[in-house]
Amino acid sequence: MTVRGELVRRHPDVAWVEGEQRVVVCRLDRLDRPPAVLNGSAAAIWLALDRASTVEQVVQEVAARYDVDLAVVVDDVEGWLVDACRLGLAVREPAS
Amino acid sequence: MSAALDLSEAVPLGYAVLARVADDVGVRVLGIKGPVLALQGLREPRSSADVDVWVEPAGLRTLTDALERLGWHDGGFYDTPVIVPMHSVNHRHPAWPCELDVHHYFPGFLADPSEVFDVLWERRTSVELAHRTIEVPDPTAHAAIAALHYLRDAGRGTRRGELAGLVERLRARPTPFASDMARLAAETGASEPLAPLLTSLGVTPTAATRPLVFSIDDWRLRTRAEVETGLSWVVGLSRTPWRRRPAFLWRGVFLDARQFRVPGETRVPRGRELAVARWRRIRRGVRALPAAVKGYRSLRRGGRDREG
Repeated sequence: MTVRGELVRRHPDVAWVEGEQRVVVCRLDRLDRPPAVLNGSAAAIWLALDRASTVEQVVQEVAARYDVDLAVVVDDVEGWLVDACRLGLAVREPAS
Repeated sequence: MSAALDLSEAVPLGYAVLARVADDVGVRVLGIKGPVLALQGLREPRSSADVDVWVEPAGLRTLTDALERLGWHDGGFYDTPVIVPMHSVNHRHPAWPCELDVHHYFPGFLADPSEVFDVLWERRTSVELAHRTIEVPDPTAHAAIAALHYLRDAGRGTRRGELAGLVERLRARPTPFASDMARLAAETGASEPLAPLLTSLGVTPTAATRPLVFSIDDWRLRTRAEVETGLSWVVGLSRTPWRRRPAFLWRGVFLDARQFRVPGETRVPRGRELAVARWRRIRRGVRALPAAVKGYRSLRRGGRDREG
């Protein structure tokens, strides 16, 4: 599974808070599950979704945040976004 | 991805969770207190340990059942006498550090709780918590709720300080705010309980515009915080039929062990620890009893004089 070339957004049915160097996300339609705690780069990717919608834009945001080349973070970002979609924290849409 | 939440994360999320659970079961709730007050400029931002909502009274059972199904269990133990009826149910979840307090009425609003909720619902507004829209009382109604919370325990220094802080914030608002507060108080049967606040704001309390279903005398008794330690037991005893009084007193002396739990813990003390806790409580009760009886008699005399 890949998300390259697609749009990725936060799931519309989440509540989330930004804590000390982490983000906590709660799926409101899955309240039988505990909230997800996103640390470090996962939190950075989540926050990047504020300004980015394509996977490429998210990669750029995260690379800029850590001041590294795109190649350093691209696999981690894509991998995490795939996981986030699988866990229902984010949703994918084909780029138009 | 799961790990322990801290309160600063759990509380805003908890408001979103409660609002969603209520919406799913078709029950109206308003988020109150804590961060909502801070967002409305009615108190300074500070950490909260609880998530508080006011639920329409008819929906209480539906909402608490829905919370139970999600693992939020009623952690309260309601076996001690109270002067005003129990007004909230506390729910705890093993994965969450905060409690969810579900209020079905709020002491000090002496009109019918369903009617009071409707009045507040009509005036509702919203705030954003955890990136979700949460329906809340408008600032006037919320200031009234906060003031009643502080006035209920006005004998405590911290509450007096919080009330003074609220008054200061409200005085900075335009004049119509105070007159709107007076109208709201009359509509909800809170004119007398809120009189100290209204007077501080320079407005005169007006008569209730709907029937009162709670006794103003109970409110007066409850606000006598300086004798609170034994007062609820003295009031409870006075309201208990003679034939049941021995059992009532026995329960008062040998309070259920669950009442001695440390706040926030589920462990129930046993053995020597329980005996020591009971002994200390009895000692405190005996010391507080004369003041409680005196306070009760004085308030009862006051009530009869006003009625006469």
